[in-house]
Amino acid sequence: MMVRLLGISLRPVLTLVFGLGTAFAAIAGVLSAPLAGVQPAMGVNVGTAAFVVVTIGGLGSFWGAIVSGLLVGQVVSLSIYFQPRAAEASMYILMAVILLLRPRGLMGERWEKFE
Amino acid sequence: MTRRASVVLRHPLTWLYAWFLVLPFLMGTVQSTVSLATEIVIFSLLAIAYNLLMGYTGLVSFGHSAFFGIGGYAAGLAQLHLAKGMVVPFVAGVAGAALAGAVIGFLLMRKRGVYFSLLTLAFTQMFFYIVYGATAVTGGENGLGGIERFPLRVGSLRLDLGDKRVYYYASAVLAALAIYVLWRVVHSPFGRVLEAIRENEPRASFVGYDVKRYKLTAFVVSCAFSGLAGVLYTFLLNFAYPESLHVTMAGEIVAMTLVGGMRSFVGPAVGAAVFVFMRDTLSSWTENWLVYFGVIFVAFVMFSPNGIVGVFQRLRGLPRQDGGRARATTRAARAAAPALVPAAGAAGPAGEVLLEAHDLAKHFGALAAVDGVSLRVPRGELRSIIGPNGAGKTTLFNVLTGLLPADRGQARFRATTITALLPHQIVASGVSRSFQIISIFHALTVFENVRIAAQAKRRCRFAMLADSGSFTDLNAEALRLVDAVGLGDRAFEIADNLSHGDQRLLEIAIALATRPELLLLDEPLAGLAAHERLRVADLIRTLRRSVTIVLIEHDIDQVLALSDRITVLHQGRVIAEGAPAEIQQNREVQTAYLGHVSLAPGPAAAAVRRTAEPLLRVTSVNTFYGKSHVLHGVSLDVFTGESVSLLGRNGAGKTTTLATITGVVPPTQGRIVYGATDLAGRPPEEIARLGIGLVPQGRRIFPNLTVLENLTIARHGEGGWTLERVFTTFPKLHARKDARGATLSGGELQLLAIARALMGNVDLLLLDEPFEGLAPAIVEVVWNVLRELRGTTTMLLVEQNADLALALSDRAYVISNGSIVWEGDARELHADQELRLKLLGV
Repeated sequence: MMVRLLGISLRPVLTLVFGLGTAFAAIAGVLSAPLAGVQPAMGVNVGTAAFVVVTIGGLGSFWGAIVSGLLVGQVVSLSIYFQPRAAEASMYILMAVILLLRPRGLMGERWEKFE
Repeated sequence: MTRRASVVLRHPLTWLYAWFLVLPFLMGTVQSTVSLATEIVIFSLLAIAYNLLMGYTGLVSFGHSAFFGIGGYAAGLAQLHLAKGMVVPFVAGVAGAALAGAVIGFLLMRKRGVYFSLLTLAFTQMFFYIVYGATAVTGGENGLGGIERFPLRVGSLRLDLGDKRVYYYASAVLAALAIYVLWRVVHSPFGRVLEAIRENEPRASFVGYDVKRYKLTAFVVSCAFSGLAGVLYTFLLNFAYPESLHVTMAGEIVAMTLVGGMRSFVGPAVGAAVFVFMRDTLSSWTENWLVYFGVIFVAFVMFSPNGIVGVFQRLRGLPRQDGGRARATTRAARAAAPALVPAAGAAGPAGEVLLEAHDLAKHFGALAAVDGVSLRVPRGELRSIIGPNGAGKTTLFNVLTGLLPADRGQARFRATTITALLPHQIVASGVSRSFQIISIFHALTVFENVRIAAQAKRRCRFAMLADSGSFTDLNAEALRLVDAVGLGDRAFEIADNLSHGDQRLLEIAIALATRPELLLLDEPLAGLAAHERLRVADLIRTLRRSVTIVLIEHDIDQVLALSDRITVLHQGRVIAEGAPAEIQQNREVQTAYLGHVSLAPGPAAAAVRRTAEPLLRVTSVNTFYGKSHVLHGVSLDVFTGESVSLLGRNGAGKTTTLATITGVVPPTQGRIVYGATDLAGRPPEEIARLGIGLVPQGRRIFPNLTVLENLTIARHGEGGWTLERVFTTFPKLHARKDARGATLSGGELQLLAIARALMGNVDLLLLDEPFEGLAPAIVEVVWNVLRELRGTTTMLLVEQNADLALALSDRAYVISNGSIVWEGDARELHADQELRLKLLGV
C-alpha cells in the first residue's frame, strides 16, 4: 500500500515483472535446447533446481541467486564425480542444511510477507 | 425415528463409511477394478491425515509424500528382512513414518510461513533421491518388489488378503478406524487448540498454550497416519516405488485436499475420490488428463476456497455447525458455573505485592523504548499507565508478558521471576493480557474463543480423543464469561462478524478466561464509540472487584475515574506516580503531554493569502473500517500555502481522516475535492499523482532498500524535489545515502519519510504523527525542517503533541470520536490552556 501511496500503480509493474521473468526463462530454455534437447518435461527438473538455487541464495537477493547457482553447480558436479548415487540428493541436502543454519538463505533479507 | 438415529444419519462419517461399503459395487458398474476402489480408500485416509496439518493447523507442507513413501518402504523392508507376516510390517511402516515426522517436525517447528513450506519440500526431495540412490537397500529406480499379502488370522477367522476384494474390505476397515481416530482428534480439546493456532498463533500462546508442542504433535500424528496409508498402498501394489515419495505426489495430496475442501473433515476424501476417478476415466480418453485436472484445480482455488464441499454448502446454505452440545447448556447451568474469576484474596493476602518490576529496559536499536522502569502493583489495585504515544507503555506490557525479552532488569509476579519465561508460562503463572490491536480467533465462534482460553488452565487441554464439547463444566464456565461481558446473545456467532466494540469485549473475555490474578489491559477503549466506551468501562469496574488490573488507556477521563493509582511514562521512563488527583496537578506530566521543546508560534495566519477556493475540501465524510463507524460527517478545508493541524486524542479518527483523503479507506459518504478534482473512488496511486504526498505514521520506509533507493522510487512527475535539494536540506540523509532502511534510527527514518514525500510532485503534504517516538533533540531537527517548509508547501498535520503542531500551524481542527468538535485559529488554541484541557485532555 505504501508503494501505491507514492503514486505507483502496482498492476502494470507486477504484470511486467511476471512477463520479464517468463521471457528470461524462455531465453534459458532456448539456450539449453541444443544441449539437453527439446521435450515436454524439460522444464520439470530445471524448475525444481532453479527453485532450490533461489531458496539457498535467499528469496529476493540478486547476488545470492548467482552465488548459490555456482555453489549448487559445484556441489552437484563434485558429488557426481565422487559419489554419483548421491548426486541428485546432494542439492536438497545442501538446501536443507543451509536453511536450517541460515533460515533466510545465504543472502536473504527479512521480508515481512515470507514469514 | 429416534433422535439418536437421526444424529447418526446426519453424521458425515456415516456417509463416508456407507460410501466405502458400496464403492466396490459401484466400481463394477463403471467397469473399473476393485483395486481402484482400494486406491480411493487409501488416498482418502492420506488426504484426511494431511488435512490435519493444512486445514486444521494451518501448516502448509509441500512434502507430505515423504511420509507416505517412508511408511510404504519401511513396511516392505520389514516384511522382506524382519518377519514374513502382516502385523510387523504395518507397525514398522507407521512407526517409521512417525519417527521421520518427529525428526523433521522438530527441525521445522521454529520455521514459519513460506520457509516452513520450502523446507518440507527440500526434505522430501532429499528423501526421494536417497531412496532413489540407495539401490542396494531400496532397489533404486526399479522399486522394492517381492512384497506379499500373506493371509491374516484373527482368532479362528482366516482372512485371505491375497484376494482383491478381501484386501479392499480389510483396507477400508482399517482406514475407517484411522479416520475415526482422526475425527476424534480434530474434535478433541487438542484439535480445538490446533484450530486456535491456525486462526491466531500468537494469541494461542498468550492464553497459555505451548504452541510448538501442539504443532509438533499434530505433525507426528499426521505423518503416522500418512505412513499407514503408505503401508496399505504398498501392499495393494505388492511393491514400493520411489515416485511415491516424489514432490509430484506431494502436489497431488495438496490438490486432492484443496479440490475436496480443506475446511470440512470429509472434504479431502471427496477430493481423493474425484482425483482417482478423473485419473482413471480421463486417462482412458486422453493422455493429457492432468491438463484437465489442472484446470479444475485452478478453478477451485480461484472460485471455491472450500472445494467441492464448499460448493454444496453454498448451494444448501448450510452454516458451519459449532458448539452443538454447548448450545444445550441451560441458563441455570450457566449461572451455577464457578465465579467469574478467582475470588479476591483466594490465593494470597490483600496488600501483597503482586507485580514488581525492577529497572526494566528494552531498546530497539538506538531507541530506548523502555528505559529503566520500576513499579510495584499490590493485590487488588487498579493501576493505570498513561503517557504520550511512543512512551513505551505497550512495550512494557510486551516485556512483562514475554513477547519481547528484556535487555535489562527483572520482573516478578508473586514469587516467580517472569522475565526469562515464555508467554505461555507467564500465563500459566496467573498473568493474562488483552491486546491494543484486537487479537481474537477470527473464524471461531464467540463461545469457542472463550472456551479455548478457559481450556488452557485445565488438565484436559492435551486430551486428544475426548469430545471437546463433552466437558459440561467447561462449557458452562465459558458461557458464563460470555454472559458476563454482555455477549450472551451472540455466543454462537463467528467472532469476525461482531462489531468493533463487541470484539473488544470478547478480547477481554478471552483474557479473563485464563483465570488470571493479574490482568493487563492494553487500551481496551481504543476505537470505540461513546456508548461502547461506557459498556467496557462498566465491565472493568465490575472486574476490579475480583482481579488486580493494570490498564493502559488514553481516555484520560476514564483513567481518572477508574484508577487507584496512575503511573506516567514518558520516553520509556516513569516520570510520576500517584493517586489520580495528584497526577492531574503534576506540572511535569502536563509538559510531557504538551511537549517541552518550547517553540515560538509561526507567522500570523493573516500572512497567508487566502484564495477563494480551498486546495482541499472535505465535506461531511463518513468512513467505516469494516463495521466500525470511524468518521461521522467530518468536514475540513485546507487553503493553498496554509499549515493546518488536525488534533485529537488517540483513536479519535485522525489517521482515518488521512486514510480517507489518500484513498486507502474510501469514504462511504461525503465529498473530497482537491483543486477541481473529485477524489472519491480514485485509487491511492492516482490521488498521490495528483499531488498529495503522505508522511505516514510509523514512517513506513522500505526496510530492504537504501536511503537513495527509497528516495528515487518516490519520484514521479515534474516539479518534485531534486536529489540535490533533498540532500542540501537533509545533510543527515546524504551522509547515510547508501544505508539500508532497516538500519536507520527513528529520527533518520522520519527525515527520510518527509524527504520521500517531497520527491513526488507534492502540492499538499499530509503528515501523520511526525514527532512520535522521537527524542527531544531529534524533535527539534524535524520541527525546524517543517518550519522551513511552511508557507512554500501546503501542510495538513496530524499530531498528538499539540504544542509542537500548533506552533507550526495557521489554523487547527480538533477531532473527537470521529467528529470535528472545534475549529479556529491555531494561536488561539495554543494560548488558551483551559480550552486545550477541555478539548485534548491533559
